[in-house]
Amino acid sequence: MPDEVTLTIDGKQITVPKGTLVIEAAKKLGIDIPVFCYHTKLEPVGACRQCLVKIEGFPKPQVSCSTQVAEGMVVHVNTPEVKQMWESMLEFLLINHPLDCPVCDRGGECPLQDNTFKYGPPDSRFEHEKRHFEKPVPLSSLVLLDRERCILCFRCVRFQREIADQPDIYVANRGYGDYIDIFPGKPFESNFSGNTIELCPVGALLSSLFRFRARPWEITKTESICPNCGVGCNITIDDRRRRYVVRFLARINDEVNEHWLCDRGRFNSHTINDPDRLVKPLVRKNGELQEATWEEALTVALEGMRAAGSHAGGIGSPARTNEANYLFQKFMRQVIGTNNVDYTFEKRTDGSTGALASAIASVFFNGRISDIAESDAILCLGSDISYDLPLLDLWIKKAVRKLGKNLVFAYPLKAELAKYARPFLSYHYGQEAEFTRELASAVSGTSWQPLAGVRMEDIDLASEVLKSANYVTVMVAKSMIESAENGRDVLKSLQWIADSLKSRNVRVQVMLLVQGANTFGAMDVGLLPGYLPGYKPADKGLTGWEMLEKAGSDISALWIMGQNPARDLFHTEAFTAALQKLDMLVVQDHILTETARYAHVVLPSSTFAETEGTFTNTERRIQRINPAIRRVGNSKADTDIIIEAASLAGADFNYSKVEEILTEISNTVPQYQGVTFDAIGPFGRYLGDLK
Amino acid sequence: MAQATAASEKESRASRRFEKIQAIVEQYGAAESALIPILQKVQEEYRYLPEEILTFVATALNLPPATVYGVATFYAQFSLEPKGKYIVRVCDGTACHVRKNQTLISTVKEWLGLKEGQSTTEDMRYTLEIVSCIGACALAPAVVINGKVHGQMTPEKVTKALEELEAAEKAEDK
Repeated sequence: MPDEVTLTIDGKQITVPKGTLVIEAAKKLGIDIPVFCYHTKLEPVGACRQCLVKIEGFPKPQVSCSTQVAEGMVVHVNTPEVKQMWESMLEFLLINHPLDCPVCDRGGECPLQDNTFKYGPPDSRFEHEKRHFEKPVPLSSLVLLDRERCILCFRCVRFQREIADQPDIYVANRGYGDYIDIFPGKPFESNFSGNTIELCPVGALLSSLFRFRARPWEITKTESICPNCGVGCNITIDDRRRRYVVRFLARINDEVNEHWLCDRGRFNSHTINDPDRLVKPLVRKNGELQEATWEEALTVALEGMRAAGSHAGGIGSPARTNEANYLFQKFMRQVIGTNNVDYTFEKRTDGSTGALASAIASVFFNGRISDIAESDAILCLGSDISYDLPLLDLWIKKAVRKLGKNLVFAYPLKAELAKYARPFLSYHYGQEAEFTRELASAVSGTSWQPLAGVRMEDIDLASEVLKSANYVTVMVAKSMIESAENGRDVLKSLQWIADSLKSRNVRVQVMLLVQGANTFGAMDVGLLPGYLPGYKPADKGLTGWEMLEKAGSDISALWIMGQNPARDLFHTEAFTAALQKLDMLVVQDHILTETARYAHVVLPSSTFAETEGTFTNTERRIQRINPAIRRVGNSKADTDIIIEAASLAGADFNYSKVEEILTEISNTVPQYQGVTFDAIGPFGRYLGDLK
Repeated sequence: MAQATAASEKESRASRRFEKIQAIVEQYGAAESALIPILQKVQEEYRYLPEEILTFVATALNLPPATVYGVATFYAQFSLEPKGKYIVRVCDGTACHVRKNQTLISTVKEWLGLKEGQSTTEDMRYTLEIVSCIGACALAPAVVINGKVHGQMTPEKVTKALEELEAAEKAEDK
């Protein structure tokens, strides 16, 4: 085959695609070559010179990280000559490296330390004073730079330039005087700055939150999922003594987050270690919240809720597990006897939830994150992805900048992604339905009038881009369907767009962009008014918004799990007033939130870091979260709280393990059929294509 | 009132300043490839690259400020510090080094009254630069004063050259 070449490395033959780098071919043969600047996701640069190998025909050693393979090439890696070169390179790097490993955060998990141990010289011949710089230099409030330790591999600068496209850091000066710097007075404020810390092969870039907090060898690692947005990035929770969460690191999953995390997710571990975590249930007595036993608290809560009966309501959370949300709606419906269950208190337009539910049930949303980069055109509607789902922003940047794909970006404001779009469609707020209908008309070739503030030629260009593609990814914000006026029409237009494209033999995948880590899951497991698990229609119930609106009249008791309406961005006052009208407010949370302050019963629950369960992300991939630290005080997992409350009420909630709840879900929700912890595995399981 | 006048004067001075830069940007075109010629012209105008002008150039060329800063610090020809009217470059290439240029450096420093780490005199008249090989090795040790190469220098000859410069400057002042 012309696109493949065969070469020999250390006497072993291997055939690889043309353009493969020597180091990658060696890796395939299991031959280890030490590296610093090379990274699979970054363009090769050959800066550190560590990966030198001998290639026959070349008079001098070559850097294997930026040399491409050639037919008949003969490479030598495990020879005394190459080993000598590696040793010399390490000696060079260590000349200026301070070797302050005992006080360095990286010590214990440091590639420079590891490679020195494996390949380095036993001793240094350098007898002079090492370089000294002021340190650490804060590049931002989160990232600190220790210039003495830097070996100038430029991974950080390359990441910001190639992947994040937010080149706030750069290489200053030249040659021996090189150093990483920011523009004076302009801090390193990329959404993805934390990745540079993780990429740094030495302890030069440090996290201000992790610095001096723990040594790598006393850290326990737990595989989990970031709970901060709908992407569901794979993380490891690093903790000390099963008690303190010290940091989150990215866990590689090439179908979700690749090697990266956003700063919002990475640096958001502080609420877990909050010194004010609730450790005991609280019950309001004589107007004051006072500590109580679990039995007492649950009894009071149950009494209040059951007295309200069908006038009670339950609001779960898009940041709680499938298992917790499933049990929560089951408990509300079967034990309390109310149809008022929801996972959110967002205002939704009439009928939009039903339209969305039937679209989900018919698997209209079948988009996969990893296919964003495969499709030729991406249509992104109604979401400032860079802020809402930051990792998808990286996928889109990769598709547009690296692979030359087209982005059609529709959003009222000129968000970050607008500059990559061709075209950028800035429709008027509130005219989502008109705008999508215009786009759908253009795609289907029906005549239309521009009403939503977007120029006709821009819509025509967008429709041309979509029609000329072979594979189109449509991404639509859930809020565009549920919150926008006539959101149902948005969904209809989307279906129209998809059908028109399909009829032109364009492959289409549609993704629903949700903001919560488990919004999709919460809907799937039936925490929806009017829908049972698996979107089976049920008796009508009130939405979260309506429950708060009707507090004091139609609703007299509320059980809120893991949400804080009293600190809502837009409706704090109205919600606070509503909460005060209730006869019984039960709040289940890990700290005394603003909402909990108005509660009659506060139940201390676990954070995601203490919980076992599953999240279903925006592409409908079910992924596992695992408990990293021990439970704080007398707090309990959400599932345990509900099971206990149910059994106190005499209901038969018999689950001895979390997995049994998942089994029940998989038996009830068609899309979750066959899902078990084992079937999910470490990287999750995509559910969108299951019938 | 006085404050407002001062503010508006400051503003108009600032806009006048950027007018000049705008003219330079227009002359070369606002393309990434024009960055170096633009910076050269700016440096010619100001004898250094002021920070706020780098930001202005970055915005005009639609480049991240950090990229512009990287280029500005990479080349020795660019300076981020204000420079003196007269530039004294002492060559520190191998040939000049072995022909004892260090005595020239210390002579110039002393004559100009430069403290450790200082390279420009306080009156902004002179800047001492120690540069790598200027390619005049046959003339080693060499000193370049205001673009004119003086070969086979000795401490006496360099002092004389500086004194002549000072005399010419004084004559000009009168």
